Amino acid sequence: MRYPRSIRLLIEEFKKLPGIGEKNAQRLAFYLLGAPAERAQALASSMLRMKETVRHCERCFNLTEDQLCDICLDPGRTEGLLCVVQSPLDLMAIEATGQFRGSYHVLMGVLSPMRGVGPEDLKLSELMERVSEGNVQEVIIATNLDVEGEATASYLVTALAPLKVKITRIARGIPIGGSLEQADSLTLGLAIDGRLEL
Amino acid sequence: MDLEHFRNLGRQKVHLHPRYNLLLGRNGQGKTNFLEAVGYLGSLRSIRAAGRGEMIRHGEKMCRVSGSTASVGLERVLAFALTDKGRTQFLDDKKVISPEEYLQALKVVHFIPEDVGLVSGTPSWRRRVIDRSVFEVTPQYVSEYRRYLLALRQRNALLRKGRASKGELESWNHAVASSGARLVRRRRQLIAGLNPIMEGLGERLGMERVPGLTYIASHEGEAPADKAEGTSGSADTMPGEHLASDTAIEGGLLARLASLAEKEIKRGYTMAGPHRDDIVFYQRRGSEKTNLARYGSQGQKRVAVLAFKLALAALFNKANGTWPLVLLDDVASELDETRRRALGKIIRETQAQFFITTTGEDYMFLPADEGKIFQVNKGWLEPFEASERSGNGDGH
Ligand SMILES: [Zn+2]
Repeated sequence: MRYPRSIRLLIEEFKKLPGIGEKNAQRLAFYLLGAPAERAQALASSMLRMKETVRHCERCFNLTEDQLCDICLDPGRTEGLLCVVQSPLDLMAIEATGQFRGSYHVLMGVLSPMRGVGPEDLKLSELMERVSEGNVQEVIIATNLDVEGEATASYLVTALAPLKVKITRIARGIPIGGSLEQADSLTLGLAIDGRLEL
Repeated sequence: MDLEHFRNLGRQKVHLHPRYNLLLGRNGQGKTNFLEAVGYLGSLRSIRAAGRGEMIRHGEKMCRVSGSTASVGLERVLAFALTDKGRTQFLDDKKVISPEEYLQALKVVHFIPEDVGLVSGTPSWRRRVIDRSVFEVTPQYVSEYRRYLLALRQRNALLRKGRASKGELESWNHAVASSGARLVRRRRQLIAGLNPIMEGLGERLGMERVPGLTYIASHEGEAPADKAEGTSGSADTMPGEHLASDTAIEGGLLARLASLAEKEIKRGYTMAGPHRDDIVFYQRRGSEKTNLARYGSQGQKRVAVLAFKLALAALFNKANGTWPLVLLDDVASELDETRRRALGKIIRETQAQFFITTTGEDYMFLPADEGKIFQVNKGWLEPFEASERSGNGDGH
């Protein structure tokens, strides 16, 4: 059966979103069709407002609506401990632990020649500049542990070496609550390599 | 086993023997087709590298094969159906989407006459066979292998760009070396496990020079990294096998990549690493090792590949605690009587289920009460009457 054109258009728009297929797109469109007009209005305007107001922090490239993000403005954060992540989402994930009181630097990507991403496409010179200011004592590299994340980490190690700063890498290992038997051998091997003395 | 429209095989149920099954018959009757059906059931791959369509009986839309086995301890029913559109596989009557899951149920090792070409064929053929074997012993190898391929593709993309900074190239050298070292170590481990078994089997099969495998790493010495990839297997030096740690291999590979970089940028691809390594068959007498591809006769190569396949079966058993099915296609015809007798003895002493085809009546002196003999005629398997078997059977 064919939908009226405006429904069809909305379904097509939803389908462009990550993780949304035909079925889900239909469900969302028909939900909105049945909801009060204010619901659709609120959704549309919040999407637009987000696009208009959100930008990247000028210092760390986290998301913010101002020049600097909340974390950069927080006087309780130590500048000496700098955590380098791939994306704002990873930053949020670390923040959710509530454990880290240092500051961040978002690279806005990882090295990937296949996708045409080189060092010049990442927020690297900005990172170097921050570290050369001299307040940073330790850089924690928290890029993903996949091939691209590891290559980026190794690039950072070389690039930061002349700045004589302590460089650490997030530990890799077995998830808490996970059993050794179920861990893949790659993870298990790395966990053994990265063992800690008690 | 239950067969339906698989090649020329008639629609039939076949009750197989848990030890050995000997298929007799003239060429073109369907003996190898049956082996192929058994092989596909275990590995979802044709032993003859045939396409799906070729395995469907002419004029039919689909073929179906099922079989029950107790080879991994518990009773399982495996089945597959092929159409020109695709394949469906079932475990215990449930459809299984992931081939990896299905492939755990039943292991297969096969030997077909064409496999003799493995010795002198392309390095990529030998790498493929070794990689699949590592996977059978270590299922995680699949993800390790993918990780390496991704690192390699990334580095190649960078090399093709041509103007990579030193630091950027180095970071991809690390990615290739660290993931590649793991592959090299796993392959070498497999070979180290295979060699004593292979040499022992070669000796039992009456070889004066016993066969084995040597790993030629493209990052070591005057390795083939500089040569174009051809029908190699032609390395003249036979280095001894050594089991280095991941870190040691990684260091060696890293050094090699660094020294090759300039050449690689010109050519646009990575010239050293497990994707360029070779696994070479040797034959050894005492401390004298020679390259089988170069100095071996066709007969010696044949026995070497047979020993390799039987050693794989033994190694799978060691790793998984169960024997794979062993498919031997037309294995005895080129062997003299002494070797046939020796092979028969090996088969009797190996606790695997065997499927063996033969055109002649060379039973390899297998005793009648430990297996079953089928006559294959125009696609039908019929029990071969014991009374028709005169004079063979090694005194039984
Ligand atoms: Zn910030």
